[in-house]
Amino acid sequence: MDFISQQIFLFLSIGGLLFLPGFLALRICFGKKTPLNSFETTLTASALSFGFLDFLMILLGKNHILLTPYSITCILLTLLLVCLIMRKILPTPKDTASEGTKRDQLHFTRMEGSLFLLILFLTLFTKSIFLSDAAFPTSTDLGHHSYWSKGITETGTLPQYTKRDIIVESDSTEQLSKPEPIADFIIGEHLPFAALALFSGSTFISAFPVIVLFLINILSLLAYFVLALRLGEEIQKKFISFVPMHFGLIVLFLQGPLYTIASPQAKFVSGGVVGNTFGNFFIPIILLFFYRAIREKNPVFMGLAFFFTFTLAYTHHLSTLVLLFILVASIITQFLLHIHSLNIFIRDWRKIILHPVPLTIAFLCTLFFFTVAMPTYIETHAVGTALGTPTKLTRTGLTFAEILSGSGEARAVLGIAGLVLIALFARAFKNTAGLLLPWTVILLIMSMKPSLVFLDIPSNRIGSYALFPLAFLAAFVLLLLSEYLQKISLKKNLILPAILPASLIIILFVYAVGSGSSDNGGSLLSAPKSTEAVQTFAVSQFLSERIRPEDIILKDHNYLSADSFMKLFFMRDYGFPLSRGYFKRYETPGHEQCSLTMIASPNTTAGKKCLAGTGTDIIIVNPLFDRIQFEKSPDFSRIYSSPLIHVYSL
Amino acid sequence: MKSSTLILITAFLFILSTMVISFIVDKQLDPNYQKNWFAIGFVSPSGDTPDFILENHSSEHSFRYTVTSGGKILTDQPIEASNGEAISIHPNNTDLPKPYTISVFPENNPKKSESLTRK
Repeated sequence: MDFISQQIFLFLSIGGLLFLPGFLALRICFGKKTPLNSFETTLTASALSFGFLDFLMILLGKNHILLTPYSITCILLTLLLVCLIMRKILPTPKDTASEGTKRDQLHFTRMEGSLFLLILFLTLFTKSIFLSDAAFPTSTDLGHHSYWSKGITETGTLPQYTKRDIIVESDSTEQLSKPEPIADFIIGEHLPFAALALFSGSTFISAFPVIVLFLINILSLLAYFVLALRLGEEIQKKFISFVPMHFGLIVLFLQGPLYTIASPQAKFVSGGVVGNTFGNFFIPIILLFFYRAIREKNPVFMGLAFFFTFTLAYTHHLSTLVLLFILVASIITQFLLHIHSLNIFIRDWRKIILHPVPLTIAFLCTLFFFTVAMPTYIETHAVGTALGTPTKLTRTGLTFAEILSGSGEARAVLGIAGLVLIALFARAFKNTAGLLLPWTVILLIMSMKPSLVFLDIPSNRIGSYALFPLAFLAAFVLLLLSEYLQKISLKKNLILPAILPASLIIILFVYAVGSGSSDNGGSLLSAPKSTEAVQTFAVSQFLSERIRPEDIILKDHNYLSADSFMKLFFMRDYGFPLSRGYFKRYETPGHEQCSLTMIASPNTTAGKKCLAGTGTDIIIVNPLFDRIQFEKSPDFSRIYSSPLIHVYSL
Repeated sequence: MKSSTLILITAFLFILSTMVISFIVDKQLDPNYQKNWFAIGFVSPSGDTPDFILENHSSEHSFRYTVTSGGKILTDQPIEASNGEAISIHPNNTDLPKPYTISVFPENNPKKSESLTRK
């Protein structure tokens, strides 16, 4: 397929699968009187579409119906038809919300619209420069995820998350295991990619997966923007001159073009950190709907929040865990903020939860969970490994300096200041403070003192979630200061005092821009890794066409580029080819040593025993690092040779 | 300014960025585009035949291959392969004594050779 046709098919598939089903469902359910503004409609349509795709594809797969463009289209249309029938049969619900249910219009002034576009342009431009080199498929995580998605497109069935690995038997011999379950992957990370590949014909050895992740990353920025607008509406009731749109634009600026390459932004996109990228999209949307449900006492929003939480649970376990901590902390904070009006508080909560819409959605989700499919990490009882006392140094918490550098120095510093301010004004805007305060505090606790919340997860992974609420708080500080400046400048004969806050704001602004931009500059790649990777793909293609079913291949992960994509050429098993991993792993007591020995010293007794035990007969290495041991061996023939790849066979 | 207009402009900017990224990645994936390498491999990795394939992704067109065993050059023949071509070569040797080595190198750059061995 030529380039232009390929792109057209891809974007039509993205529009048709990742936006249209959700948009049509919203239209059917709400008609034109949707209580969402255009941005919220777009984001909700996308989130709904992801949810529909995931659950309907799981339903098809569990009922042994092949996953094809035809079957997926049929089931999506069936769902929409069901929505239409339900809408016609059920009576029009009464307006149960006290505010905000009218058609919500979002207006930008010319200046605001121009600023919005400028921020988006800078964000897209900077990320595109980075991704033009980094989107080339080499990252380990992306290779792993692409394998499962490709498996769905080839077999038309749901993936079985299993893997054959080298295990140490009780008699200390090492051999290949039978396929064992692995909990690291969750089906929601793979179904959307598979669906898009089925419809568009895109291959996984291309920019396609990164493009999809890029889209989700941009959608997540818009989600935070929209959340900021809603939070700003309540703040405006206390500070009349506090403009929600300005708040949203500053949040967008602090999360968009600044620190836009560092994790968890473009680096997660190019690195194929699929689950986290999805999580960063769903978390603000879920918080938005929980927030609006509570503030506007709208049970429909609560129902949507339930559905999106359920979708997230089938997409990324860590993000789900983080979300649950945020929600629990938020409920506790809300409870404390409303301590003097508890009756009304509990009555409002009861009204929005004990309503047919959220109850029906919760019931259907629970039914799906118990009767159709559970997420992999539940089935393999992996939850227990994430909770408990930290077991490794990397899980004992980050230092404050690490938080600063991980969240972006300017954001973190201003955010901490904003945290103090928000705490001071908490009673003035309870719902907003009841979200921002606990959101920030719980993430700081989880990343700095995980033992306090019995968390046993790498702390830097948790720390990457903290930048989002810190950006809100930083924006709050900047906007409050500028509002204060405006107030002062309106008073006559106070030009001199006005210079002081103006200078402070300019300094803070320059600090934020400088810090964020230099971070971007330092993160750009010096040269693409394509030259090495194409040789890896070439040898994989060559061998996949020529090896026998009984051949077992071992490759090296340390010195081969894009080696995690090799499995996409063979599609035999997640663990095929076998891999010599990072050297540090072999220092762990009890870790298998064969994959190390077979490459490092194949001619020794241990090496030969490993080769025989695992059945390995083909080894792929980078000759610049691993060559002599095979050349010296009387048993190994060199069967393939390129500048950066040698393949040796017994 | 209408928010729907901003959404459409954002979508347009996104599509433009991703098309540029896709175009660049497509070029990078092309083993022949701005790359200069070649690879050789036995047609039958697990078999005994000396037949091999030359995949040429370099600017060179004229190659030579030699078959050596026990220090003697048993075959020395030219190969013509244009950029992007993968050709199969059948050395005219029967019952080659093992171990033997097949080396391929560009005519005007013998140092840049790739070799295969059967032991």
